[in-house]
Amino acid sequence: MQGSLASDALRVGSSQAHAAHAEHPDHRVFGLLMFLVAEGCLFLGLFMAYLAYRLTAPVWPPEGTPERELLLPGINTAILLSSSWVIHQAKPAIQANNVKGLRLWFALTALMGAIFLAGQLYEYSHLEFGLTTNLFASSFYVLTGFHGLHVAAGLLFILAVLWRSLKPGHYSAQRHFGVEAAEIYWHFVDGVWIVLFILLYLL
Amino acid sequence: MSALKNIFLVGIGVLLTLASLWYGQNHHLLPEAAANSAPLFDSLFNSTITLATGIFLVVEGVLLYCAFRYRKRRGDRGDGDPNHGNVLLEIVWTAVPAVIILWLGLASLDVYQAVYGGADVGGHVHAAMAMGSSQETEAGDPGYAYTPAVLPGKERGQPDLVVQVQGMQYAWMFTYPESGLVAGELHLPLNKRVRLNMTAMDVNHAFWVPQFRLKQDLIPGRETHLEFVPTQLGTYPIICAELCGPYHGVMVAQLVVETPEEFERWQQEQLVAARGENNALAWAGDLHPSPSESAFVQVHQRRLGLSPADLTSLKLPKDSVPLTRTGSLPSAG
Amino acid sequence: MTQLQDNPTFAAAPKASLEPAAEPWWRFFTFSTDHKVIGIQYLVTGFFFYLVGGALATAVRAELATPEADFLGFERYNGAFTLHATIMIFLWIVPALMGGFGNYLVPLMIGARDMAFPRLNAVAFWLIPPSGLLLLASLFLEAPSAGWTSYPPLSLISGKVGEELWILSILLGGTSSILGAVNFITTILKLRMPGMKMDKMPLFCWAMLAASIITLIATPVLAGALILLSFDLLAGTAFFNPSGGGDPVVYQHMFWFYSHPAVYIMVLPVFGMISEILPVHARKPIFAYKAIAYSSLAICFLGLIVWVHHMFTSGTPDWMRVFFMIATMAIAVPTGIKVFSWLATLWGGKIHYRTAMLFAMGFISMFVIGGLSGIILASVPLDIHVHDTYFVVAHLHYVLFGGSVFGIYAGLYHWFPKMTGRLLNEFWGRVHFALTFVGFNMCFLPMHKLGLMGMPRRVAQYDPQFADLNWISSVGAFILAISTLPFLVNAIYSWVAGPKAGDNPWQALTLEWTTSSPPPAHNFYGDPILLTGPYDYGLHSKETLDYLAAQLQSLRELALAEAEPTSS
Repeated sequence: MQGSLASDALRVGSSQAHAAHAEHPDHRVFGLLMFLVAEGCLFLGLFMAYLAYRLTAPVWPPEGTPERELLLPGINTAILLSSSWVIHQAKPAIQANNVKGLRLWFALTALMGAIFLAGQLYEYSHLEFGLTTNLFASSFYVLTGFHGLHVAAGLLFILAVLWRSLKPGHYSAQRHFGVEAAEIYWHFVDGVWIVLFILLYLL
Repeated sequence: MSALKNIFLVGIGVLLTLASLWYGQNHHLLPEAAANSAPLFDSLFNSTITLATGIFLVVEGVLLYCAFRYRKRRGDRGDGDPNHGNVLLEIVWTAVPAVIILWLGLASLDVYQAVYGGADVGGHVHAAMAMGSSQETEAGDPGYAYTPAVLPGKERGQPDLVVQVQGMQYAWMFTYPESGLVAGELHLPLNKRVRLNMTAMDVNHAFWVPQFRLKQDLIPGRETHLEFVPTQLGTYPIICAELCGPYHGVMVAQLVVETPEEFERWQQEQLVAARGENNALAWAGDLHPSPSESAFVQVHQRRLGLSPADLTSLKLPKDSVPLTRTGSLPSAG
Repeated sequence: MTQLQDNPTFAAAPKASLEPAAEPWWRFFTFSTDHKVIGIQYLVTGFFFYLVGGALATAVRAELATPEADFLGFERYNGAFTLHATIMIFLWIVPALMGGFGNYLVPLMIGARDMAFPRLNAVAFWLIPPSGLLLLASLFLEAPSAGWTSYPPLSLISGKVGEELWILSILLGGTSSILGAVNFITTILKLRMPGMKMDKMPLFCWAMLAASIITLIATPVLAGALILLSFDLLAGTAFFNPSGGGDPVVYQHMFWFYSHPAVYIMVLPVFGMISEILPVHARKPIFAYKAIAYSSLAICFLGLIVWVHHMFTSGTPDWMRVFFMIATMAIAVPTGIKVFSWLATLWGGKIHYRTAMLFAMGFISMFVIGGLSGIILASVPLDIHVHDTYFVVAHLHYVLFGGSVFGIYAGLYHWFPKMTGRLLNEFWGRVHFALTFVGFNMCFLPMHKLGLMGMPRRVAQYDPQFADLNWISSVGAFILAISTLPFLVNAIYSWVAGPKAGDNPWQALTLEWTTSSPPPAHNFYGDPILLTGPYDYGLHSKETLDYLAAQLQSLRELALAEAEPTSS
């Protein structure tokens, strides 16, 4: 009967209206992952260009490029990669409501990231080729420079989380999106570096 | 469906097919064919036009039919027949286009092999490879439309004549390596296989002769190629087909296909003239033209029949059109 | 012919107390995070740039009306066509479709309150005006003149200021696109209302998902290309400059890796809209829902692996030409599936000749022509002759104007009532359609022959043998220019003073039509309720529909009664 169906629907409707105010899930991690797909494609495009030059040049690196030094960059790489392990310790800490632990691991990561950046700048200042010396040199500076910018952004992100963690109760076992996001981003930056290192220093 | 309706539909189908076949042969959309590559292109193009016309007529026909037959009648407030799927129909209209595409892909591959196969016209030069079938058919014969055709003469990759082509803003330079002749016009002997080795001096250009249906970019820093056999006497435009600056539209040269004897004579005339003339690099006293600029000048100077002295009195304002109004040129000599 | 009266509860304007206030005009100039406001911001901004791009096109066609370069002159002409294309692509079609229709419709269609990231949404929109301003500035400072493709080395010597303005503008626009794509993918995958599985969501959402995936993957590669180009332009590197060891063809690969999929970004949402519009105005379910949904994904995938078909004459090696020819031809199959499904949707329907339907049918007819010329272009030997000629100009305008623009107009006529609460005038809509259809074909049909007979692209001066066809084309362009007037006047007048539309003037079944016109701030009164499938035309009796409409009305009253006074 129309009458009873109407009241059924009305009951369903009103209960749904109450349910509407429940917390809705946080999709920000998913959004970040999607964004990192785009960032990944940006680097992928640059890598492909580099490979195109590398694989079609008769001589690579072009004549006159000084020997690529591996010690300093190697150390820097080790620092960056281990910083990924370091930052990974933060999430279990905050999941146990250990804000101090979170801050320790993040501060350590920030330090290691800063050392990496400093190492890069040191390397730049001691290299015997400049941005426009030749195609390898240009690629080197643009690729590592771009990556460095991303490391710097990640570092700022980590510092921002550190700053926010000063506010009591801001991060807890239930809410720590910033912590998760910073970690994911940091791993991404790390992954890009691995590819970069292989392409620019080893191949 | 009634038998009458079936006959009617078959009739329409026949009409559409005939119309498509007719239009495919009578579209008047292409210029004349003047090289071995052109008839191959044309028969593929004609078949594609036939197909496209057929598809066009069917799709637009159905659309118009629906527009008329299934329009909402006055006062009708109801909905249409809620038919929202038919697996067989969907399979058919997936398979049929797939088959058409397959046909087009294979036919294109055929033509591509016939025109370019083995001639290595990609961006790097490799040693020429002898290749290809020796099957000879008549180009343009519809019965053998897609059979690779090799005209009498040398095989692909073994040209009778090689010409270096250089493109620059906004002129063409043709160098005949054997004789050392440099000209602003491309003269070619009839029925001889020609290979063009091309490069650009500044920005990207492209070499296009519509009557040959051939085109290839000229890229600075690399050499690109075209290989073909001119099959019809005449004068054809060489059109730049890659944006190269504001005067891209007037970067046109002449391609003259002449008998081998005329070709020899032309070469001799040009060589004699070049030796006799003052070096065009010294044409204008107080200017210091860059090499490309002087080549540009040299090319036009020859074409316009001017002597270096004439040129010193010319001033070229920034926006002027360097060539004649039509962008094509009076024939040389 | 305005509102249908026979189903009063479904179609009637709600009672006065239930009618939401329309947004005040100044809201559209703010950093609003409401997807509906943002959607309209994108649409209006995009349309403004459409007019600018159209003015540039008119200037181009004025130059081409005669063989000599006697109107704009050689240098200004190159700036004109460069800006025309750049503006149309990056400031009109992409923002209007993705940002405009995508933002407005997706949350409503899936029963969500807003997009997943409303503030990110606003940021993405507000990147567009600066992007546009940079290009407009270049009109006064120095226009980029190397074509919208901006190939080096030409783009490195065509004026640094103009070129860098162009690069920065596109970097901003590209960032906007990417942020939008992140939002759409998250929203469509995560925010559908309970009960709406993927295979129950409207096809427009499938299309937006596919277009967003393409955007996410391809746009960053363009950014990479433009960054390297900037270094060459400003810092003396030689990535694309052969005199420094670089390779101009690497740029072409990076550029087209984005710019080919870009055309699918510019057409997939339109495909989605057509799939929504045809069933409503033909009163029939969409034919082959699954095939249309999956073909969007197929086009998404295939679209990412065909880019070299823009480079068949760039000294590309044989094997590469062959591979990309095959991949390119393959795209015809999923596209054909859509076209045939649309025709089957019309077949057996009851077609209402509203302007939205006129443009939708016009879309099908024009897009098919563009698709056929596209098949010719897919074949390597055929493309070698027509590449960089007016044949390509014909093809691209048939798919981008006959396709995308016709589709956008169809969408505007169809959803204008929902967005503004008022109806567009149908008579002037028909005038608009007729002028557009005639002007468009007159302008672009002759270009097929022009290209085949020997007229290259991007030339201010051409061989006089092409004069007659160019004259016809230019006349068509002027008609096309004039055709925007009836639409503009209609839209502005109707927005302010048009007849009220009510919730559902078209008696459509997707979720956006179950709420008011315009919808309240949170889109639905109470929760959205899935009463029918999106395309259930002909599947429910009139009594059932009346009953459902009555339910909606009661629930709306209930929700309003329960809501706080400050809602909406």
